[in-house]
Amino acid sequence: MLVHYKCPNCGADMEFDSASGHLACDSCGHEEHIDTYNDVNISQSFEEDEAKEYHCENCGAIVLTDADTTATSCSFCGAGVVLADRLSGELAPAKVIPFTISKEEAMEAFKKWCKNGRLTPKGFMTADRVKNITGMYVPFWMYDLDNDVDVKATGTKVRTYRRGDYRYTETKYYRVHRDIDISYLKVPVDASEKMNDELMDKIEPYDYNKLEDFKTPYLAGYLAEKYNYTDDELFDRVKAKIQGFMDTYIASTIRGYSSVSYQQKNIRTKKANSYYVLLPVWMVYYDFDQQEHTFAMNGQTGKIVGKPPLSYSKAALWFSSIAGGSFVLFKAIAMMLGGDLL
Amino acid sequence: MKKFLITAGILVLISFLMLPAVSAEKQYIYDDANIFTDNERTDLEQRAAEYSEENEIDILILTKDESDGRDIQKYIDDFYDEQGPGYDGEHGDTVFMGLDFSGPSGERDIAVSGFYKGEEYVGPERAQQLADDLVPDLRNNDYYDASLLYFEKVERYMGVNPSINPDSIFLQTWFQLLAAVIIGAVIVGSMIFNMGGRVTTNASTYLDADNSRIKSKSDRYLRQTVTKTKIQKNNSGGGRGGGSIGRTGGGHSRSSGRAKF
Repeated sequence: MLVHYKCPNCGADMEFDSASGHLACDSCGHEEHIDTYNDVNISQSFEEDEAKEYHCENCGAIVLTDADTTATSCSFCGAGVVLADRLSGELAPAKVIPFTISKEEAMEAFKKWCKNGRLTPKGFMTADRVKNITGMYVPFWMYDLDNDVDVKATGTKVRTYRRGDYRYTETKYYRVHRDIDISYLKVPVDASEKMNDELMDKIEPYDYNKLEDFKTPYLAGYLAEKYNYTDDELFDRVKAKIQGFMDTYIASTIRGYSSVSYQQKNIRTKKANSYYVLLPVWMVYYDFDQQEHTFAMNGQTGKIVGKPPLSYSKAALWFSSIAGGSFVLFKAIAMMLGGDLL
Repeated sequence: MKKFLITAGILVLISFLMLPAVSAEKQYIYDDANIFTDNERTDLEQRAAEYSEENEIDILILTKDESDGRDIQKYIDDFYDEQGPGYDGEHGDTVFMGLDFSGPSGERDIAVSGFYKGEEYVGPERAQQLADDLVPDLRNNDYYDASLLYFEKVERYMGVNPSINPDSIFLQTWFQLLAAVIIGAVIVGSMIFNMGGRVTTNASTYLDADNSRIKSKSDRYLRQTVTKTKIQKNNSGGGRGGGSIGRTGGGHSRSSGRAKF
């Protein structure tokens, strides 16, 4: 099932506009609010063999998708289409954060970011080899997690004092016990097989105030994918993700000791809720030095992540100037205090 | 008595006449214990004069044997009171190395003492350090080498601000180089590490503060251990000290560090 969003004004294809947050028509400039968009204008076409190929309603061309795609553009006429059957039932996202950064803004921001690369090769900084920039809704699972934590530890308090000719070190040992509830809300974990987990972890955080109930028109004009892993399959990953957060929280409840050693840390993590959400990401593909580099930009905040190429000569320059500068500084201070030149 | 007066008068007369010559031929080595050969003594005199001139402080060596029963520090103090040496005039800036050869090997004493500018730059800690540093050569009966080392060390100490330890690794080139390389590596390393973007979420990003709390807590006292260590006594405010500050019979303040060899 292929869904097109037709302009009620002129009949052209409408796309989601990141600036206004509405559906906008490129031809006549007409805008439609997503909440009030009349279903009459949604044209749907059912295919006989839905799983395999779709026909564009506009031009009749075959819309080629891979099995995970839920929104794309017709490669012939460019109309944004949404594959609604892949977004219904179990695959229906609960929430979505719409793009707030347009393609032009994303490109501009990326170029600016490249220019600031202190360790990237000169040729890379001009950002003139950007092969492709794609707006994509990446599937994430968000978890609400309740943790019941039971901690047993030994804490020491050390006090030193002198009496007569002796210095006394007094160490008091305490048995520390804590029973803590720690809850986390909406911890995101990317559920797409194609996306690099490390990249997606770094692209956080998103501003959850902009989290909207999912409606298919948000996807018009962008690429979107469906999840490859269920929330249960990714449960271990989210647990690993909050492990460090919990250690910090636990440590913050045991204060006033010189040292703390943990005997036991029992953590029971319970999933209170999980939501299937789509989060906006600009994917930038950059050909440099016959290698493709992939960058991801948070489609809401503009944060850019991804490993740019490293210029060894620049790194060496930075290193030698920092190390050389510090050495000269040390030497100058030492000589002021009476040290020798060598 | 008359004879004495005449002798004294002649001596005074001669000293007045010879004044420029005397100051030019200041004596630095007073080898009463006779431990140096004539050649060594001449050589050391010359070097002592050079080092003294260079560092604007008199650098003296005194030796004594059991024929004089005074302690070596007292011996130095009395020498200073009586002779009043000093680069900048009578009872002026001076550093002494005193070697006492009474007693068997291992029971002999070395004392290092500084007066005025000498007390400032060769303070109690440095005097002690210097005395300790000279012990190995002295144990080997290399009195000449010990003397050369003494000159070098004094020169070094005179060049380094009294408030810091001249042997501190912060003044060593290798340490400065190492520290600079480490700083450079750490900074550039973190730059490279953060090139791909940093994780900007932290423990409080997703925390639901309203539903996170301590349900129960207990801090139960178990036991205590107490260890005691003896505090090393220092006569004067010194970290790795041993050295001291004192006064001569004539009321001159001086630093002192001493060791056995």
